[in-house]
Amino acid sequence: MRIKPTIAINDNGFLFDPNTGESYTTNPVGREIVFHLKNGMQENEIKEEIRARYDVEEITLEKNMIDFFAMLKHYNLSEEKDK
Amino acid sequence: MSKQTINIAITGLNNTDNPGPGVPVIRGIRESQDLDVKIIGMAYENLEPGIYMPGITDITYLIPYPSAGTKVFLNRIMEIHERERIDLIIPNFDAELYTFIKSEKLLAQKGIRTFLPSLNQLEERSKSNLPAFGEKYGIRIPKSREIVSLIDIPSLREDFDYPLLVKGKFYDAYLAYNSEQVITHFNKISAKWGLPVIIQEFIKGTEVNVVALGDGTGRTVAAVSMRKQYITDKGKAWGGITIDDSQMMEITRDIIAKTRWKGGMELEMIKTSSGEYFLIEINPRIPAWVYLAVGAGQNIPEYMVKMAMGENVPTSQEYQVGKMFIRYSWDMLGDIGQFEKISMDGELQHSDEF
Repeated sequence: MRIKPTIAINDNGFLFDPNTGESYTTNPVGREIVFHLKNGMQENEIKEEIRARYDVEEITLEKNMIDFFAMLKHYNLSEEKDK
Repeated sequence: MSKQTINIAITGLNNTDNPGPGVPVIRGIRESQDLDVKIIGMAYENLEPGIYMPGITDITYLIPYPSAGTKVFLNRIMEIHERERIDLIIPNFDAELYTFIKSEKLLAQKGIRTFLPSLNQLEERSKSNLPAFGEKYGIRIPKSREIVSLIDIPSLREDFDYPLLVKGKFYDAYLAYNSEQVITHFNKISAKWGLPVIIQEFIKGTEVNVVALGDGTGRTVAAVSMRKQYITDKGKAWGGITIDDSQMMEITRDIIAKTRWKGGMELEMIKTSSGEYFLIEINPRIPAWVYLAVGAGQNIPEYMVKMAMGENVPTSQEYQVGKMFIRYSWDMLGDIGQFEKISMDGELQHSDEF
């Protein structure tokens, strides 16, 4: 998956979708994940990056990332890469 | 060389929680770098806030409602014209457009310009004709039906699922979850706006709007789309944000091209979660949120004045996405003398003293 190219995110974790006018906030880890996705990183690469930076169990990280990606999809902020 | 002053008469000074577009239209015109204007406010009620707001009108006159009769209405306009030499009138209410459009030639003979759709354009997009409009121009419209009597209400179940919308021919829309609620809304709306009352299928989704300006040849001179962020109990936008919705822009340009729309318009649409667009209403005038478009980079009131005065206005396509507006209420203080003047004399000259 990737973040839609039109989605803007700033350093505070504030996301804005210019197509719908909706805005969202995310915590610092969410912001990091969105930045990584915007920079074209794969999901497993992001997982490794987060695990290296934070003291987190793999199962917990896995669960939270699945939830987070589902949320991005639900709010139409992400799309599949082949689009 | 000094610019020639254009005397512009403007209605819709009711800057209330159900605001008329007069005040934001005036703000746009006043912010123009190219225009030198005198603003002549025309108010129907002596407590319309725009009469008293500083920096809005130069002078305001009370005028009778168009329902008083065309002759009475036009006589008053001519009385004001004799004193002010009006160059252009910008009407801002749906309910007065019919009278102004019908009187367009007469006004032109007196030297008063307008920039309005034709009578045919006005009627074609009316709420009651919207289904036929959608069919003619290939635009998806929610199913709707006119009713003129309480007897029509029980049979609505055959064509509609609840909830449904009950709408007045000019203004007001209420959501009804059962036939009892339809009866209540029917009575309320028909007493206020007359018949027919329009029943419309309720489409679930996000309301998105476009303010646009057509030059009468099919060209969209300007258009800005907005999503309402905060809606009042009257369904009016209390906050909104400009969005970049290419599909809505395409629909807008298509409608203006096919109808050769002249003047300002507002398209109200519902975007469903699956990305379908339903046109729910076309307002045949500039909407009250037009100042957002001005702030986002398209001064639609200014362009309209220029075109009405015969200038060629280039097409504007760019605007700032993410520009927001938030309405607010503000207790403005006045003096009984002002109220007395507008009530007794039917006019109030704006003065910095107030």
